[in-house]
Formats: sequence, structure tokens, C-alpha cells
Amino acid sequence: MGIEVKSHEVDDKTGSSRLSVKFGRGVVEAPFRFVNRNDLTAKSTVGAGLQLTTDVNPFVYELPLNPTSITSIQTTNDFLARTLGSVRRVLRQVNPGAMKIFYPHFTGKADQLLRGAPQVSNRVSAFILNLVEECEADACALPYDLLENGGWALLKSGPSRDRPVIPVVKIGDNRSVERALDEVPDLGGPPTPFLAFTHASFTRAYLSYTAIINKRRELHSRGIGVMVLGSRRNLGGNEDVANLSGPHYSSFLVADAVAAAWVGRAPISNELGTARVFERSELSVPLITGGHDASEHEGEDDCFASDPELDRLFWRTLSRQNTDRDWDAGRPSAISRLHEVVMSSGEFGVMRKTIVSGELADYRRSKQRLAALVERETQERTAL
Amino acid sequence: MLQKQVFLAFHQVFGPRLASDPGFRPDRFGPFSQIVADLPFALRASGLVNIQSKGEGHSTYVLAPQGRSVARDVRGFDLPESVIALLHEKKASWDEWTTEGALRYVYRNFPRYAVKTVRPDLKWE
Repeated sequence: MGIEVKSHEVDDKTGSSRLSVKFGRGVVEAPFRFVNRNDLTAKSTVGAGLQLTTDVNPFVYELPLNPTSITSIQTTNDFLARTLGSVRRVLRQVNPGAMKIFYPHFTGKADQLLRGAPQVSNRVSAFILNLVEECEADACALPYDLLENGGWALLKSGPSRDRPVIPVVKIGDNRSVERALDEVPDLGGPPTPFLAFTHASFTRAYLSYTAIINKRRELHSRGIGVMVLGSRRNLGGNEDVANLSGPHYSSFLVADAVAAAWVGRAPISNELGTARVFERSELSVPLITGGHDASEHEGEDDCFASDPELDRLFWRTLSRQNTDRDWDAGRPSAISRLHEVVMSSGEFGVMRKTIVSGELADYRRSKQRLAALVERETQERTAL
Repeated sequence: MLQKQVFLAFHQVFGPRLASDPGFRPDRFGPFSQIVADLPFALRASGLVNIQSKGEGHSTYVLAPQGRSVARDVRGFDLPESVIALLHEKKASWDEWTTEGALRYVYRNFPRYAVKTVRPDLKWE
């Protein structure tokens, strides 16, 4: 067991590198995007005959712990067993050949609650470490705060000391980021194949991003990849860039591996406005609107070829046909998510190829809006 | 899930030329075959398979050492490599479904097995 990260071709201008990530049952190549629980739910909602993990990408199980979970950890006797049961059930649902990452973390409110209560914090840390020891993931992504406050020492001496650990640092806290960049490669104990960061735009965390960009090559050369967890599906905010793809934005900045945030069990929506499709030309995920041009997606139904019903649903969704029945059970959202995962993962494959052939700069330039946004943000801020 | 996976393996991978029909009929949760329901217990009784209860409401079927050698022999039959590759590919895709997802897929593609369903909400039409 273990994960080994090796850097191959490097793009000199951006510091992006093609990484091979070797784990117990195979090898995946980075940059890549993870499948998460929302994607599996989308597949089940549509009942699609389409393989998402292994051939397409690895899987991340995100477990957000909120104040109610913190209370349950302290008061409910079987909370550990129940949580572990649901983690195992989903990890077993993913095909056995896929690389699986388990990522428990605190929500903002839970974090606030723990900050003022060291005793509670210790209990919760013990709970998370118990979970980590029992679950059957290939690696566990754990909050860096928890690791710094005694967690690392416990993992080092615990029975799972050989299982890879991925420290997750809050990108907004630039001191933690700088500390992690300096310390993680030399920590010793459980192997750290990746150093992960939470998601934020460059402008909200420019000091952190600058530090990561400066250290990225050194991390790669020491066999550590950079991961971004909890990326947004689309950037939002300013109308001009609102629909740009979050995972690709993260990968343009620093990420070798990126996972979209798990948004929970969203209620089934009858709103047509929730359906998004991935567009390769601009790396964006626009909402399907009345004026949407279905011809832009010609040939993209190949991935649904084994399932004619799904294929038809894809075109119906794009051209807004037969809406009366299709919006029941939230099918448009589901189909767009499947389309987005498959197509955007394929696009990560294209990006990898451009690193190999030294054409990454051209590739980025061809994605005008995202390239311009990233260039504008990074140049303005790093020039300060 | 076992019923659904055997059903799909028969209809979408092996077909009647490579495998004998397990005799599926529509039931409350889609296609059901008494043979498929009985086989795991017969295989366990003959020491070829171990059944483990892992997690809540799950049975996991694991090949026993003796079963592994039988499985190797079965693989040596005249099964074309393309069929084995297709089975691998399909199995990976089936594993990613929840039980509802599997049922929805079966109802969508084989609607005649939905006639007795207790989950009409999973039907496509």
C-alpha cells in the first residue's frame, strides 16, 4: 500500500508537470479531476450505463463535519460505527480498481466551535483518527490544523502509520500555507504524496498562491503533488467569468489533482435553470438556456453511445425538448453533471498531452477567457 | 444487487449462446431468479464461496481458496477475450450504482420487468 508521485515532463513557463501517481492497484496520471459523491448520485439518478471511476478518474469521499456532527461525536455512542458504515458503503460502491481518498473536514461553524474548546477539539480529533484507521481508502486527506495539534504524532505511532496522509491547508491562512510548504516535505512518519489546499480565487489568497507557485517545482521534485479540494463547479461572481469551470481554474493556477466540493443531497429541482453543460472551447459550464446552441456539442454523445436512452436525453436536454416529463426527478441536472465530469476529465487528458509536447502555453492561450483571467490576476498581484 | 448484476451480465454480456438462462421473472424489485437466489447458498455449502456480512444490510461474496481454482478453470473455457473484457468494463460501471440506480437502469432498459414493481417512481416513463 502507498502512493508514489513522480514528476515527468515540466512546462517551464507555468511550472505545471505531468505526474504519474502510482498506487496499490494501478497508475493514474495528473493533472486529473476526482469523481465525488454528487457525480455518483447523478449517475444513479439517471441510471446511466457509464463508468466514471478508474477509466476516467479517481474518487474522493468528502465528509463535512458541522456543529451537529460535533455534538453527535460527543454524545452518540454509535456515531463512529454509523459514520464508518456509510463511508465503507460508498467506498465499496466505487469500483475496486479506483484510487480512493477519504476527506473528513470541518465546516466553518464547526471550526469556530472547536477553536474555543480544546477538550472538545481533542475528542473530535480522536474520532477522526479512529475513522481514518478503520476506513479502507488509499489515502486520507486531513486538516493541517488537526495534524499540527498532535494528530501527526498519533498517526506516526498508530497502526496506520504507513497509510498515505494528505495534509489539507486552508488557502486563506497564508501563514499555515507557508509553514506547510516548508514543513510537510520533511515531516517523516506517514507518507505525504500530495499537499492539498482548500479552494479560493487567486485574489482572495494571493499571498498563499504566490508561495505555492514558488514552491511547486520543489514539491514535484520531492515526489509531492499539489491538490485542491472543494473547488467550485463554476466560479460565480462577476458576470464575465461566472460560468468558467472551477476545477480548470484551480488547475491553471496550481493544482495537479482537483476535486469539486460535495454539495450534499440537494433537493430535486424542477428548475430548468440548474442544468449546466461543459464547453471545451472556453472551459466553462454555462446554464442551459433557451438560446443554447446544441451544435457546439456535436460528437460529445459518444460517451453515452452504449445507452441510447441517455444519448437521447442528452440531446433533449440541450435542445429543451419534451420538458414536461424530463424535469421530473431532476434529470437535467444529473445529465449535465455526468456530461461535465466526463468531458472535463477528458479535457484534463488533453491538457496532460500538451505538457508532454511542450504546447501547454498554446493550449492555455486557446482558452481565452480563463487564460486571460488567470494571467490578469496573477500578474497584477505578484507585481505588487 | 446480485440479482441485477447477474441479470445484466446475462442480457448485456453473455447472451443465451454463452450462458444458460437463469429464468428471470418480474418481481417487486425488478427481475428475480430463484436460481440466482439459491446459488450463493449452494456455492457456500460446497465450500466454493464465503459470504461475509460487511456493513449494514450488505452481503459480500468472496471466493474461497477452492472456489478460486474453479473460477480459473471456468475462465479457461471457450470464452472469447472480448467477452471477458466487456464483463470487466460493465462490472466496474455497475458497481458505481446505488441499488436505486441499478433498478432505474433495469427498468429503463427492460421495462417488462417493472410490471410488478413497488417502486414505480424509478420507472423512466
